[in-house]
Amino acid sequence: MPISKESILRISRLARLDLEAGTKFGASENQVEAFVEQMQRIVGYIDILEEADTVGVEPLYSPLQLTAQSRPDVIVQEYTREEILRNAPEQADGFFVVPKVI
Amino acid sequence: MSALLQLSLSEVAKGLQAKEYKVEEVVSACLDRTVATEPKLNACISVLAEQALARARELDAAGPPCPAPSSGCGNAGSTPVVPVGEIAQSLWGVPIGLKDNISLKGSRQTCASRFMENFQPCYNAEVSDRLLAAGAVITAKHNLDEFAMGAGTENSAFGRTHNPWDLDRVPGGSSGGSAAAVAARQCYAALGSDTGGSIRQPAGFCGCVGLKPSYGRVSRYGVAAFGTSFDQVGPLTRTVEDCARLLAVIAGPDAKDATSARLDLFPDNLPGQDFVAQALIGASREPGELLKGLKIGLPVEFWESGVSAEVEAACRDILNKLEGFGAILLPVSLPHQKYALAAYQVMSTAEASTNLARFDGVRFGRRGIPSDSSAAFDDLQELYIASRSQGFGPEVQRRIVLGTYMLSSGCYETYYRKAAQVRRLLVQDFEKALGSAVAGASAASGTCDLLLAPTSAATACKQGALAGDPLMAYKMDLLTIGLNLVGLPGLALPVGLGRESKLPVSLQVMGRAFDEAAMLRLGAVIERLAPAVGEPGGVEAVCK
Repeated sequence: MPISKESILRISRLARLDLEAGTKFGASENQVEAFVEQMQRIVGYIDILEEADTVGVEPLYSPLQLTAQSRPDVIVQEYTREEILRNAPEQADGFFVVPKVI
Repeated sequence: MSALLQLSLSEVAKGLQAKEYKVEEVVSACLDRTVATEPKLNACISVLAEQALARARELDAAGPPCPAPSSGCGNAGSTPVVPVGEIAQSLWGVPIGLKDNISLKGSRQTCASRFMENFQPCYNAEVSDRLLAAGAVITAKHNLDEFAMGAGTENSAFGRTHNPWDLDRVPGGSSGGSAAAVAARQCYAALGSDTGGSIRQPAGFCGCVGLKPSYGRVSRYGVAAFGTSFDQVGPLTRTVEDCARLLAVIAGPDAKDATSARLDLFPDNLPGQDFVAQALIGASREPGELLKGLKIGLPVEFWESGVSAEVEAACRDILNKLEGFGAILLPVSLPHQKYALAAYQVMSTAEASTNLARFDGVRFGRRGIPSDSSAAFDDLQELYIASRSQGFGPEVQRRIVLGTYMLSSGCYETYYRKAAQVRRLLVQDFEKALGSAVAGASAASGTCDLLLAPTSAATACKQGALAGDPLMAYKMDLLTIGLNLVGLPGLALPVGLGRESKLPVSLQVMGRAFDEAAMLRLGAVIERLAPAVGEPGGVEAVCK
């Protein structure tokens, strides 16, 4: 299934990536074009899947055929708030700080 | 180079236990070697010199562990803190490196991404905990392709790693830093991660032994997720015995990883767990005794996938020797292998796009700057977009976009579900070849005990050879991704140097689920039959 430049840019926004905004940080317009062209070739290759006869085949999403385990549902405190916040780019009063949302 | 560095992990561990040398001497030798070779290799993102030396001194002060609590300890008068078994302290004092997507408290975990350049994990990965509990000294965090996405360690925000055999060539990827470091004797072993071949392929390119365990064998807790249903952590070493020793330490269920397999729930199917014993059997008994009647399958789709003449020749030499000792070589077919790369691309990028959604510039990692750097962000969306667009490199962005596309409405059925169906068909192909993909189940007659194929179709390529052609780069994993799709284990072994390139050639042993012990036994036999690859020449030429 061919994929257009417009859909690639739209999908990128859905993934919270702005390929064109990259141009403001050093990427050139050519790089966006190259990205689109590479994506089209990869999707073109993946289209080989169409040939596979999969009628009636149950999809397999994980190879783990032995039962996955569950653990007791008990609350444990493993880390402190300070430890978790230590990697935050911006924090105040024990909270993560983000731009105004509403 | 210190003579200590010529020893294998198993040898140096033995010498350390016997107090033939101090931990500090061994650690210092590795750190000196690292300092000498890093300017040419760039295998490390962080060298943990201070921590490693401090731990070495602690271990030296405490003395080596006692073989058993009753036999009396080196420290007169003190009571042994823990009863030490074979595995409990099997890595006592041994310098080991970690791929930098595996968390270790007290050192940054960058995943080779600008996004994570200052990230300090507040906990250890389960595998890090197990290494430390076994007495290991972690000396470095190794370079990789950003978030383990790549086949040449060229997609790193910290620069590319060079192959110690030829500095103009790639070390493979994504665990290329680990493979280069182990080959160049910076450490005795390393842990990497393998989503589509990322342990086996670089191990092959650098002349190391690399093992991708069965899916569920090793905990993924604390390892930055790429493809959740594909990722496994495993060892990169210089010998098969070393590989077995490391696997024995890291294998086993972990309550913190719901996908780690509870083999104890299936006692009837439980295969041998005695990795070290089996490797030693393979290394010591008569090859004929071990190989007579062993049915080894040769998947034709692997052998006929454009394998280079020198790789084919080096691998065939081994096959001939195995046959000479009585092994039965059987051509087998895995008809859905031709769809494996496409199915892998669909499913691994879909999982990656989901896993990498958490990198948003809010809770950790690098926050982007607004496009008008004098202004503030208008809203949270803009912050996400700026952080991700500026923080991720091109290959990571490509895979996120591809994966998001595969999961988008209209594509889900065409690609994602279809790929998952192909995945099941490939599992059935392997089950047919191996009698049963589950170890311990009785194999039907005419099926194979193990499979053999080259790890990669060619030896290490030149740096930059794959630039601008991601599809070609993805094809580097053609012979390794199958096992990740089906969750079976694979062991990559050096089998000599290519006659033209003079670079290491690697053979891959594939086995039934959780039957690593059988693979290690055969691997140890092959190691004896194959010409030794020796030491990498590229780095020696410049780092005397």
